[in-house]
Amino acid sequence: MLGKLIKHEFRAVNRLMLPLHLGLIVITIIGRFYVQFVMNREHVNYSSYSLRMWEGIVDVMLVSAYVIALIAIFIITWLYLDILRFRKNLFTDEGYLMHTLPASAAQHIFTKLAVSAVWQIADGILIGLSVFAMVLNKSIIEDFGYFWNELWTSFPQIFGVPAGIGIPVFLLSALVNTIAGTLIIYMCIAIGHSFNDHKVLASIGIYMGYKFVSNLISSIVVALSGINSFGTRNVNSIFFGVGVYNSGLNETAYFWLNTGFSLVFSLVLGVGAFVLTNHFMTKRLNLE
Amino acid sequence: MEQLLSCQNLTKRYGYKTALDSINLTIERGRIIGLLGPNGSGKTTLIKLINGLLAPTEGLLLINGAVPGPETKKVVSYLPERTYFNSWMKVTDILNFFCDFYSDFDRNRAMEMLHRLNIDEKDRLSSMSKGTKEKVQLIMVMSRDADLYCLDEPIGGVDPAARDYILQTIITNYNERASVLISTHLISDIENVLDDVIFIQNGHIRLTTSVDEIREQEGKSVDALFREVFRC
Amino acid sequence: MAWILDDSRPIYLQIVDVIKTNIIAGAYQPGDKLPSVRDLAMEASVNPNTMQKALTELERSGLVYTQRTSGRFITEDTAKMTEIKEQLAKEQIQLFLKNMEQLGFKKEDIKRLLDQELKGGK
Repeated sequence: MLGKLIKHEFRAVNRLMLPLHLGLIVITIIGRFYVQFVMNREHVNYSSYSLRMWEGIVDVMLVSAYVIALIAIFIITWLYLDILRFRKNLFTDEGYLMHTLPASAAQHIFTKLAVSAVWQIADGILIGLSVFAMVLNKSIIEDFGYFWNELWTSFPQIFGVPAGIGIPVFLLSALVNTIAGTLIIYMCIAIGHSFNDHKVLASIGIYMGYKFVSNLISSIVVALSGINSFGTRNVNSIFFGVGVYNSGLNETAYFWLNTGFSLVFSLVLGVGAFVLTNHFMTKRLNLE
Repeated sequence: MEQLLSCQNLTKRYGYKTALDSINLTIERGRIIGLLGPNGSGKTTLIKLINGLLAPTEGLLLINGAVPGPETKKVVSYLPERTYFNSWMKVTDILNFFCDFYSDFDRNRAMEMLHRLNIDEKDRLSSMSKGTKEKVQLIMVMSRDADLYCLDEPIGGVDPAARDYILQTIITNYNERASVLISTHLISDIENVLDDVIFIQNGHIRLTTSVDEIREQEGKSVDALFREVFRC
Repeated sequence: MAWILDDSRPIYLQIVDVIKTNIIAGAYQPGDKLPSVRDLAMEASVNPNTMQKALTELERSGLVYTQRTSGRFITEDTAKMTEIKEQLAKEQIQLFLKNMEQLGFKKEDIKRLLDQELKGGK
């Protein structure tokens, strides 16, 4: 059942995600050719100052357009997967079909989550690759070895662990954090749509309420303990010197304390959001 | 065989409003049953509870002895009062969808019915009229070999020809293991098709009986009795 | 085409009457096979259970009999047919007489008017 749900979810979501990211690839290829053209243009001797100025304006505009396009693709992907698709498919008229399939609410949540996570990861990788392809030139390739060595030597100095461990841990942490974020939005939509009217407004209100409380709690935690999700000592803590900062721990212990804490925090949030979403989708479902 | 459906003190409240008040009801197999009542009487609430789209506030609802969930959804085929397909879908997409999710879906039966209505499989829903969309949805729902069909207002707002088509479809697909529950307030249109009727009002069951009994004992049609019982 | 049925009597009884009339009027010949319950139900636009009930009723009256494997047939017992035909005629006559009585006619008057009508009709 889960496999079929995921298959049909991809089929529906790909209708927007594929053209969107195909567009990203096309923009990247065109942009790359343009960058190539600009770099070659520098070697030409300009006779006219104003021509050069106009060229500069066009360049700036195109770069802005590229950046805006990247941001738009990122936001559309997130908005569509985390909010619009989940709401439309499960809490509007389509919900009458989805909730009468022989599938559990948990399977529906998991389906949406998995497809959302896969596309958001793909989206992140493609955007990263696009930027990389844009700035790539001979000197970067030549300097790559240097950067790489620098990374491996300075990473342990800052974070207290080798990059080979620290980077995967960061990526894992980012993944768990993204998934928890998605689940929290699902939770707000599920709770908001159990209301009799103003379902969307209620969902937004619940999200803002959640944000307020979670910011408050995390500020208190960070302030009191000095723990943060970056895995470094938090020098901004108001209790600077009182918390773990002065406890004599070394950088390595810090890294594990902080990332571990952040990971556990995200996990707890994610599991809590999943349980609540599931509850509201089974016991408090209230389709219009 | 177990009772197809039974409700025991089934209650549903929305906030302070009571939509269904402690109803007791059983439905046998092989019956075509009219769930009749004025608007806002609790018809849709009951059907949603049967389909697990709502959870009861109190009491119990059992289908084949089980509370609504993935298992009961395998044997209940539901036609809501709204169209729930994405307009970008083609008829084939919908056929594939139903084939994938419902093991009791009979693709050939669906195709036969579609062909009789001259609906092409490659047609997109977005190119269809509202009435045609509703017919496609009815065909999908009736092409399952379910134990219980729940049709919520299937004849509300359709023209007489479409109404006849819907009733013909219900009769053609009748089988003695399964029951059909039809909610409506347009009684005279479907009266000849019904075995039994359930009168519901303000969340209470007013009457459950067979159509023949009403006619034999009261000497009047269900429609006439309904007008009498629910006179404003 | 749905059969035209009225509101006041149980549907299966009305169906029994329709089929009876069809048999007597010769729309179904003795020994003919009846369509299946489902097809008849479709034709009449009624519930198959109701049609089943009507056919059971017809079987009881002896106009229709079931052969276990091949379906339902119209009786070939012509005596039975005549009997039922006359039964129906009797019902009609009784109805007619009742109506005439309500209009205040005596038996002699009815007879006279009836004779007159029958002669005039020729």
